[in-house]
Amino acid sequence: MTIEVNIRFKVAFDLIIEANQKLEDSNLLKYLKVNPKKTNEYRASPHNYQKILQILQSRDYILKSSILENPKLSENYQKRMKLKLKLREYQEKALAEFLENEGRGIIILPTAAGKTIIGLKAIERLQQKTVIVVPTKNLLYQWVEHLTKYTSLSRDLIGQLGDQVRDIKEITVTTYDSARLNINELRKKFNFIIFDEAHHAGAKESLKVLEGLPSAFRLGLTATPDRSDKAEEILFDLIGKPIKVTKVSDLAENGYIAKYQHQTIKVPLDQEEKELYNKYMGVYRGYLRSRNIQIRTPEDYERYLIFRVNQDFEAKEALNAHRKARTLVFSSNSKLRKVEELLLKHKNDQVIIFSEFNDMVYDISRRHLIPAITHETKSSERQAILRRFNTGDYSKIVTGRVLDEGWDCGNVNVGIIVSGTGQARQFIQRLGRILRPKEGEAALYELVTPETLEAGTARRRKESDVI
Amino acid sequence: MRIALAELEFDIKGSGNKSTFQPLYLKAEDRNKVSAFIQFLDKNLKKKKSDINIEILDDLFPSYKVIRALLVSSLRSYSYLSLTYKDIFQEEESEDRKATDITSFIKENTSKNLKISNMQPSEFREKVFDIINDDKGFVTIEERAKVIEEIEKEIGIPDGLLVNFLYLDIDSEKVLIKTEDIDSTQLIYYHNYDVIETTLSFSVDLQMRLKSLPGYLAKKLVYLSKKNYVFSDIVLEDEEYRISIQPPLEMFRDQGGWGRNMANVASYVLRVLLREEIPFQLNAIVEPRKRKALFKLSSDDLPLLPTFRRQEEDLVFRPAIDSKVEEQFLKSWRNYHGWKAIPEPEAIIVGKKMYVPDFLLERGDKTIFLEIVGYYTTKYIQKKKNQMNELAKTGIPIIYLVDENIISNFVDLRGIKIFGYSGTNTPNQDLARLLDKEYSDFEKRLPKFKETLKQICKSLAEGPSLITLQELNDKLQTYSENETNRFMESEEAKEILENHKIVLLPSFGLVSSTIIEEINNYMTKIKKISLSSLKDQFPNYKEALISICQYLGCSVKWKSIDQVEISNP
Repeated sequence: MTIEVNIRFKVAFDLIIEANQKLEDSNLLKYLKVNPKKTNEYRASPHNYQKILQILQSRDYILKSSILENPKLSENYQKRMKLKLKLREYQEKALAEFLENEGRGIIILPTAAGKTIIGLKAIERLQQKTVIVVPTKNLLYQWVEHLTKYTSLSRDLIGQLGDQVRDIKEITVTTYDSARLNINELRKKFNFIIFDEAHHAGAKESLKVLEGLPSAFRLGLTATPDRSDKAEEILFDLIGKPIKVTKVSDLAENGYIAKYQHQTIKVPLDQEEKELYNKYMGVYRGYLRSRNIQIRTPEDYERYLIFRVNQDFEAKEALNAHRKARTLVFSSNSKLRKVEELLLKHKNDQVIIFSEFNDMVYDISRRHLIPAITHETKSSERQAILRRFNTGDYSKIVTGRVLDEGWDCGNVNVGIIVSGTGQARQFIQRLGRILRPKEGEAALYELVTPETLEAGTARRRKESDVI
Repeated sequence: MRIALAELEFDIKGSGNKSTFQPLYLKAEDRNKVSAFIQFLDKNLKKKKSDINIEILDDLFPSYKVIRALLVSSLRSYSYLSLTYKDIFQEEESEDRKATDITSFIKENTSKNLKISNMQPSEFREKVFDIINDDKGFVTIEERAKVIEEIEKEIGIPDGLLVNFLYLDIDSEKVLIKTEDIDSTQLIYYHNYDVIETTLSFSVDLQMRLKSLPGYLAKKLVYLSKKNYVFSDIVLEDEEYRISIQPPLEMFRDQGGWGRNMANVASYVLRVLLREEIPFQLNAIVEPRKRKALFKLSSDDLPLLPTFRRQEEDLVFRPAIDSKVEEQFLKSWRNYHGWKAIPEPEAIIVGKKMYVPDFLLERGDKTIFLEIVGYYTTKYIQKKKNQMNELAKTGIPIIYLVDENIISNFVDLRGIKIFGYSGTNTPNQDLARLLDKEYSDFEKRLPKFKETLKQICKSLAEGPSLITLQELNDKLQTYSENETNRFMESEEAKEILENHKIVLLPSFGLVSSTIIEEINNYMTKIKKISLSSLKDQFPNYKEALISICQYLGCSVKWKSIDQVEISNP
């Protein structure tokens, strides 16, 4: 008896596979779970749809599937979705590797190397209905702008999910949050997904987007695939293998991005702060010694301190002391003084100052009367500040993490990192802020408090092979 | 209110199938500590969030998490608010300042203070940064004080306040305010309730046993379950109602993803039970941090909880539509051939089970239930089929509209009326035809129609006069034009018309034959006439003239929209 298989979605997350008899193909069963409540019904994670389809098609099954019934771009979109730019050599190389890999992969290129353009070209080549997933509203609007600027698509042909808009079209840009909330709609339509700043897709909630879509073609774009939770392996599995074609130094050498000067400036604590720092670290180290604990990784920190806080009163004290020491080091008075020195040195330049701590951001803003952008800054104000900074009306801004990614900063040529975590990603993103093709060199200053826990942080963030 | 899991104090005792989830509830003996917490908040009213050091309270309870949870529960009475410039510039209105003439009025209203007080903080910041960027885009520490003084003068704000004004609206600048009084007992009640609600949001399976079940609660439970995509069953067992709430079957997604939905339903039920003081037992399998445990709650042993006596929006049950197809159906069937769809009607009790169909269709004294079956999960389909079979045995009239995508699963059901639908398009005409065929009361109303028609015809004959079809519908009180036509085509109706010498013009209505004769006599004397002239001749029958002429066999030519020519046959 010929096996008939029907694949479809229902209201729940899973892919439903119904057969007229029991399936016994072990290759297939790898991806399926048997529904205990119904005979000959199987469930699968949607992201395995293509693999399941391939196996079924290679057998003599009668296959009926209502998944992605109409995945190609319509003629109107195909006509308009033609890139007006020519790709650079390294961009062509990255795209070629992506297409050779059956339209799957994570392209790793430094910020400002033109990853967005590669994404647009991929849409043109694949001609599939596409959803572009981004982490922030800023990036959402940037993609929309790039689509209208570099192709013949008009704004009304570009869908948007996010920032209070719900308009799905053949090419749609969405945030990770909106994608997760609208997964049932997206899975019906889009056979090509682009994950911008793809390292974000490794977050637990965002993984649901990767797992919940049956799309055949998946492109990740990032400068920094590494995650502190090491979830990048999952990303490679769900999106595709990493594609690295060049380094920052090569791009700078060839004039694609600005040549930059990176300078680490040691800024020791002043006397009073040093005493306080030593006191806090004394409490922290004393606790570790008393419990015979060694902290080597962020996981150790969580396991031995954060999770112990409830049972162990001293763990809580140690944690508080460590946090205070960290705040002191990352936001010291001497750093504030150094910031002023650098501002004076570069008084005629476009300067961005980064700090991990919002308190520090507002401190610097109040101290030097510089516009500040943090996660608390409303979208309209943020856009206004960035616009004025891009045009040169404002020459200095200070920001927390929120500007780390994807923002097209035009003429910035000086970056000052007052404080940041050890993650390579952050560092690279911040470096990327100043790496836009322009005359002269760019400068990135990193203020580090020597002989403190920040020294290790600074060392860790430089260990990235993309640089 | 939901508390973050990281701030929920709980313990899981036992292991494997015997694990029990035990959250920390506050008790009466904690009143003093909670009072201290409230006093702390009261002492810090109008202080900035960033200046309030909540950590000093961490040692008030064995776990600092209780303070975090209390902060959430206290949001019912306290909140953080952004100050506005108006708050800062508040001034008593003095006698002197009242404008006595237009000049002083204008002078008052152009004062700089008033301008600032109308600004948004972001506008204020833009103003400041614009001034700074006229120079080099920043100030040094040395020049800062002088620059700030100048800006304060230029913008017109009191000395020394610029820096405070700059970020008045950001979260850390918000000040604590009190919106209503709360005592320690009330806060304990709310804390404990929030702990339960948070716990339930991690549930994967929930069962409740109640001694009684008010009808409105059963209806609301079914409604809320549908709205939250969870399954609820209500079964009467041993003189108790057993309610079970379960998520849809999903094997590849974290089951915990539906906990919030289940908590929405369960929390509502709990609030009603507390208010009505109905004895109950609740057992929920919860799974915080991927470890399953049993959470129990019993009315015999409740922690301190509120009674929810005050009016809440959900005390007033307004049936609402929770899917597009149901919405569309209700729109179409507000009055469809006389049928009216009533959403979320009274529950049907069959044996031990309670069902709440989607609609009751009502016309005259006829009523039929209607259920729309659109869920796709296997569990639901089987559940539905079992329910349909049970209901069929009772003889209760019910019709099902089943989504075409799943209708094939229902073909084996016998003696059950099922129609397919697609998208939001329901087979209204087919449904109406079935209803007319099987649930019609036409015969019962026929005598009344006849009597009414007799009276109409008598009055038309005496007139002489005419009435339109719409007027006829209204007078007969038929459900629809179709029914009017059905009646008018009957032998009885024809006989009445003949007896009273009334003619039925299908495109107009009823006309006395006297009028028709009159017009016929006139038309035989002329060859052609324009409609407008004919209307002048017979102003009382203007609307019926075309229909009458057509009835008489005249030809009617439309030369243009307002030029009609009528010719004798």
